[in-house]
Amino acid sequence: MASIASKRLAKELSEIKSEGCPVGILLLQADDFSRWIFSIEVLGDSLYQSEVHTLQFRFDPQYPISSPAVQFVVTDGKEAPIHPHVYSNGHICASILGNEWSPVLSVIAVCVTIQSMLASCKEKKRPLDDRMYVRNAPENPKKTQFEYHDDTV
Amino acid sequence: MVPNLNSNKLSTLLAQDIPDPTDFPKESSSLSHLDTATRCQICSNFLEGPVTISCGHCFCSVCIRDFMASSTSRAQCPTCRTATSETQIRPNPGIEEVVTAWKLARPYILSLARREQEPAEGPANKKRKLSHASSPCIPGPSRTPSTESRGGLGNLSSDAPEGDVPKADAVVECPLCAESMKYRELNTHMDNNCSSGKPSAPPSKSQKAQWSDIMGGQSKAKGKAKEKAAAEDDYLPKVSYDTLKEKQLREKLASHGLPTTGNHKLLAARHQRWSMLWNANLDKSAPNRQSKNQLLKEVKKWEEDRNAKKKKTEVDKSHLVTQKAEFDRLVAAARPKKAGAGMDDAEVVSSPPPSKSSFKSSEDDVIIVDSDDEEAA
Repeated sequence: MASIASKRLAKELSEIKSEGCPVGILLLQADDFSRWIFSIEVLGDSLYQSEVHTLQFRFDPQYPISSPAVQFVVTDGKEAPIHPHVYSNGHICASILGNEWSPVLSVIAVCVTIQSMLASCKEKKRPLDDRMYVRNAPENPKKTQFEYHDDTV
Repeated sequence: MVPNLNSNKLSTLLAQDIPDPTDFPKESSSLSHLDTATRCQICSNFLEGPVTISCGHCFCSVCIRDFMASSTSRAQCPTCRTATSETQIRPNPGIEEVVTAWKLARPYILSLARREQEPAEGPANKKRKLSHASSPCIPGPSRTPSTESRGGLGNLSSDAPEGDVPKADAVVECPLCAESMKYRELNTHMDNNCSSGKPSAPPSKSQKAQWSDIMGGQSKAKGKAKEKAAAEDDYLPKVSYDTLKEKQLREKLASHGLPTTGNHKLLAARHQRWSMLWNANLDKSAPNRQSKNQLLKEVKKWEEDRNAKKKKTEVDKSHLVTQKAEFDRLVAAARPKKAGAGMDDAEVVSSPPPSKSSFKSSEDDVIIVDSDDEEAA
């Protein structure tokens, strides 16, 4: 149902353009309905002060029934934030991007969730299995079956 | 990545005037709130055939059925994650009425809200004057019908004054069908929906028929006739497609007038889509329903979209074939190293994963990863 996906994304885009993004989030690129790029920054007192990261959304025709593929951009000199749930290839282990995705969530809602995930971080480090995961990771993070235990961060 | 969501479509779609809560000026945020409230949270269009589920949240029938059918989702409310199931979907005609009314009123209210935005040309009291001028007119016409109806009521009561009960043999007029009859027969007459004579026979008959309907119909001919009559507004049951043979599936599809081409998987998917659209259509109130032909067209369109998506994956397969030699060469190049010393992490491409690894890697690139701090202390 490609038409539902594009209609819904058109609505989200027009809302972003008319009402703007929440603080610290900026829409960098949305040329089509398959890939959007945001910049994300944690404002206020946090471990990630003055860091700006780039977040990429990819949508399939089943959106919003199926979740968008969300990851940090790690090319062109950009880096993923160092966080226990963010792998160095930009993949993010967050339940709302996987089995807890709900079609009432939106692109902006995901941005805000990831922003708050960074803001509440207590210790800057990579996931324990980062090297192993990155070596074998599929290109699309949606193909990974993450296990979610840690609700604290 | 997605072939049918290209940038050309984006510009045309954005150029189109898609109604949206942001149409309303910022000053009238209450109106955009109202506009949002009449929309489905899944597709963000106006609720179409709105249904509520057990927790009370409201979605388009197609949207929530699609969501529940999708393999990734467990049966839970998209908004509050309360467990639910397809059997708990109930149409909500009240909300449907509200949405219909709002859609009708929206252009007018939108124009009013936008006019309010523009700098007021005339003095504000011009409007007030207008409303003053029109206000005396309102009570006028509304008063006349009210007195009329009061008169009508008075007439009725004078015809049959309370307390004055006629005698059992007195001939009276049935208040429903105006047929004359003895007063003692009047009650049975009215109980039988104004059918004259033989007051006792028809109810027992219909009762029998009702029971046989409930028990599934003892005579086959009757059951079939009933099935045909009810087919137009009966929900289609869920089918366990895996237990059906292809032939049975084809028969099912044919009985709805659907094409019977394709393999088992496609037949099942088509029937599933059809049942979903059919049931969702029944969740709408009768005047808003689509005809069977429109539904058939929608299934056709859905299948075309699906095929368009499939073509893309076929291209990927052909790429695999053409590049096979190159892939084989790479695999061959990687093999000897594996046998050799290479457990060095620097040789990322060729080194095998450590044996104590906590993940499983299957053919389709699915990796189970535990990203958590296991050493948390």
